[in-house]
Amino acid sequence: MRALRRFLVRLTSSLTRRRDDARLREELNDHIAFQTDEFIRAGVPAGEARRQAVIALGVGEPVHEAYRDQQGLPGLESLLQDVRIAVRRMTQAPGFTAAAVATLALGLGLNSAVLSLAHAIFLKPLPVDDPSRLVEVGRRFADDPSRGLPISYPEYAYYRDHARGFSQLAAHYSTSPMNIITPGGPMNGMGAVVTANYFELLRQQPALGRFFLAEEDRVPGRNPVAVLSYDVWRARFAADASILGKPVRINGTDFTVVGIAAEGFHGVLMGLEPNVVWIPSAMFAIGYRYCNGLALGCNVIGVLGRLNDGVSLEDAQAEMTVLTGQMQSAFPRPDNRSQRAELRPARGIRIIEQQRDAPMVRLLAGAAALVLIIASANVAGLMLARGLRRRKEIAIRLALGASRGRLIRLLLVESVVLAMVGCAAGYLVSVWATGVLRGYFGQGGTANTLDLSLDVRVVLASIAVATLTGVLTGISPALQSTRPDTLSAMKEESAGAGTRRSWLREGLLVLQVALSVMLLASSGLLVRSFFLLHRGPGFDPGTIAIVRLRPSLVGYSNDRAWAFQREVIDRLEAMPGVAAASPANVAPLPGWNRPVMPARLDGDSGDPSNAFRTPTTVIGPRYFKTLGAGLIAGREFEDRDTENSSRVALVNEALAHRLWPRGDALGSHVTLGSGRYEIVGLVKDLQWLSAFEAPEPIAYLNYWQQDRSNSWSQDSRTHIRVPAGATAAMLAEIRRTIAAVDPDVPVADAQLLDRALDTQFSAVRAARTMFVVFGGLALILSAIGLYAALAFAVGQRTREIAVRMALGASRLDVGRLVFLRGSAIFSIGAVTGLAGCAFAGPLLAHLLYGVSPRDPVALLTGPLVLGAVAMLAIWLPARRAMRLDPIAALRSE
Amino acid sequence: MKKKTDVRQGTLALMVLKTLDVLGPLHGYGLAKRIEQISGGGLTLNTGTLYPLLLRLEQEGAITSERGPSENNRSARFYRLTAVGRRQLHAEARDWERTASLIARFFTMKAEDLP
Repeated sequence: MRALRRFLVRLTSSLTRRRDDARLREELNDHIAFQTDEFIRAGVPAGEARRQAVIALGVGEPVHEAYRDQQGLPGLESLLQDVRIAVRRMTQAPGFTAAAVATLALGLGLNSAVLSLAHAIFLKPLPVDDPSRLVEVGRRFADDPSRGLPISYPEYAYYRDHARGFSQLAAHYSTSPMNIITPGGPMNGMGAVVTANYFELLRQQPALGRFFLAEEDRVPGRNPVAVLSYDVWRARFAADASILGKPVRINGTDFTVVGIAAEGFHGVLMGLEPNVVWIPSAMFAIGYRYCNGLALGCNVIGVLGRLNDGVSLEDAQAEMTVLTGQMQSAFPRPDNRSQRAELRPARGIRIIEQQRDAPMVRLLAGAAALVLIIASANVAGLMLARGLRRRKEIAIRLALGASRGRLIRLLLVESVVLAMVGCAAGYLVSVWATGVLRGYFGQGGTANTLDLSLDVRVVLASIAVATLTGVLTGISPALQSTRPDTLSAMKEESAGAGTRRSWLREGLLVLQVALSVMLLASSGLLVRSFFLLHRGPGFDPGTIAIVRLRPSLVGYSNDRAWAFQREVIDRLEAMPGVAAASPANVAPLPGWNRPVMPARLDGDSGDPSNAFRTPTTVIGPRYFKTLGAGLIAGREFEDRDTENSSRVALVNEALAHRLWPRGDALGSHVTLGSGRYEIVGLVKDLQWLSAFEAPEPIAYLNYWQQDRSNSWSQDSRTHIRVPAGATAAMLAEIRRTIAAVDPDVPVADAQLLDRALDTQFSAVRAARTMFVVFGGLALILSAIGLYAALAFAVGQRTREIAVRMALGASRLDVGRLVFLRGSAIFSIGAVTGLAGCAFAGPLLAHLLYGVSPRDPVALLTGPLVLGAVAMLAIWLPARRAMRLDPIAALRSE
Repeated sequence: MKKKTDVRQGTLALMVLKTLDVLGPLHGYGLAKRIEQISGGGLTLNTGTLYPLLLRLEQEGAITSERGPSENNRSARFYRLTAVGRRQLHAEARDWERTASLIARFFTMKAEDLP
């Protein structure tokens, strides 16, 4: 207590710098005055009395010192003093400072960016009041814990009615595509189907109106009420307060708007498209079409809970585990697989995306850490070199009685201050890097809610990383340059660069080269896989627009949906600039799920279950005309192929080769599933991936001849051939044309195919951009570091070289000496780095397309460039060494 | 700079507090003289120790100070014991007595007293 109080007093006195020297002077003067009086009373003459009194007091300075030591905080003050010295020293060597700060800024900035990405993805709490007690209730199969299993509404209701640990449990389906008719035309957005207590659980207040009543969420289909997001209300309804109580058409049903959500509330799924509208769970049928969202087995909902005060996550987990067991006897699964509940704090983005992004974030973090290590090693090398130059100064300080600890602290403070300045400058780097990352994570760059803004925890973590970097960077130069062989240091300045020191410096160089080689090789792999990936499909994806049309969302009959689809194609093909349009069920992109059907030829008597199963794609007439390429022989689907005409199909080369190796595919018949089809056309394989990839066999079926038993067979991804260089205006025109046919049908994902490709490969692109940046930085840093260190090493050996030359060594000998040393350093580093790559390669493997992790071209390109730079960095100092004039060099000593 | 340890470490604070407790408010010089007088001349106080100590005690809240006229009409800074200081004095005095009696037992110890 006493110590604390005293600490606070001293801290204020330190910080305010209110040095009460006056008080001490006053006390001493008083003391002298009293002493003088006493001497006078004892009979000493007045003048002599004062002199005696001063003598009796003793020397003033030690008193002052002891007094001052009591006043402030000497530790803190001498630290501040060190900081001041460090800053002064930094301004004295602006070149060194700029280089070191810039180097550290790059490393630290990239790390801050990755930290803030990781924070947003994994740790950031939901932006609602008191998010700390919110938990997500998930479920997994006990025998396959790797995959999550969403919950169905009756199971949620069971939890809600029985769990005691929660004040609220709410269910939500937050990725519901919703088509809203607004005064400015239809808009498509992500809606959420939520239970009435959802907003209360999140402690939300409406900006206007109210949220759902429990009563409105009771009877399925009875209360079509909706809450709009603030942004939509402002942008699409002109912030009109009279909207409350009025009907708004959503997915073809009229809803009454009862409230507007608070500004900035976008639902609970971070990193995905923001929610624009909420409807109660009793209206589930409007928001979900594949199964009855309120029925058992329709596992689509997410459950959020708010823990009661005093209930820990573990308590709640225990309770939910018990409840899940009981629930399984109440609602047995047909396959009897046992499940278990899994609670986690509601943090970061959705768990599926967390799992998807985790390896990428790990890789980025690893790369950023590597860059930081290289930067740090580089700066350490610079400081070591500078430390050697400062040995004389340091030796004098030691000789004057400075303790080694104090000097080490001074040098460490210097490097930490450097790192701090670097950290501040790194903010600019991190702003740029988060911009890049934001574009690629979340939902492919569209209106995502992945919030990468600065966060206190990220800032603190960045500062901690910077401090650590400063200490680690400074520690070996500090230990080295304060080695207490004072005398020799003062005597023989440059020749003192003994073997141990150069061993350390060269060790650092080897490490630096090794890390750079690893990074460069990894970036080489990623860049190469990206370029292989982009061989191109044989047609121009920039000339194809795709829109997603889903009449099934609004519950149309087949006839009505079909009429709509026909009308859409007719009107689109009538648009100026549109060459052709065709419906299909998937985009011609790699990795899409294509339904698989057993294919049997006429006369094939084998077991049907052994039949070759071919992927299929549904396309409309003029599909390949729309793509602008692909038809090899025969014809493609035409308008005369209808529901009532005979079934026809197209096959691609891969399938033709598989089923008709003799090349007689055209005109043959094949049975796919239950239908028998005549092959009328042969088309090219769509090759998206690499030259190494085996093309996927595909049978193309006619959109108008589909099996119509599934409601989603009404839907399409309609392809539209547009002129090259088509703009957003063209897409808007397409949307308007479709909305003119029927504004109730949702039009989603309108984009050019090249944009869709970008989105699909966003992770690879993010990786490429970041790794190219990381690799480039590594290259530049290593080159600079290598050059500086080698040049310095030669500078240090001036005397030795001069002696050698004076003793008769030829210029060539000297050049060879320097050159060999540099080459040895580089070679050892490069070999170590490549060996490291062999270990790290498998980590990258899942990000690579068509490139082996041991691909020599990719692995060696970067290191070879680095090698060339290194040779230059070695050759220049070697040349300088060869030109040394021995007499001048020796004389300057 | 080596400090002369005329006074055992930590005991000077106790002396200051006790003196202020018994004699009431005193200025620094008076305090120094009183302590030397009480010690029967056995102590020479180092001013370089006393004034920093007074500052420390004041920072700890054991004493307060204010300026006032001295007995011979000089202006001087007078130190006064606070409630905190009094408590501290009692606590330290107890500690000291306990230590002293403990040490005393060792000094009076004879071999034949022990079983």
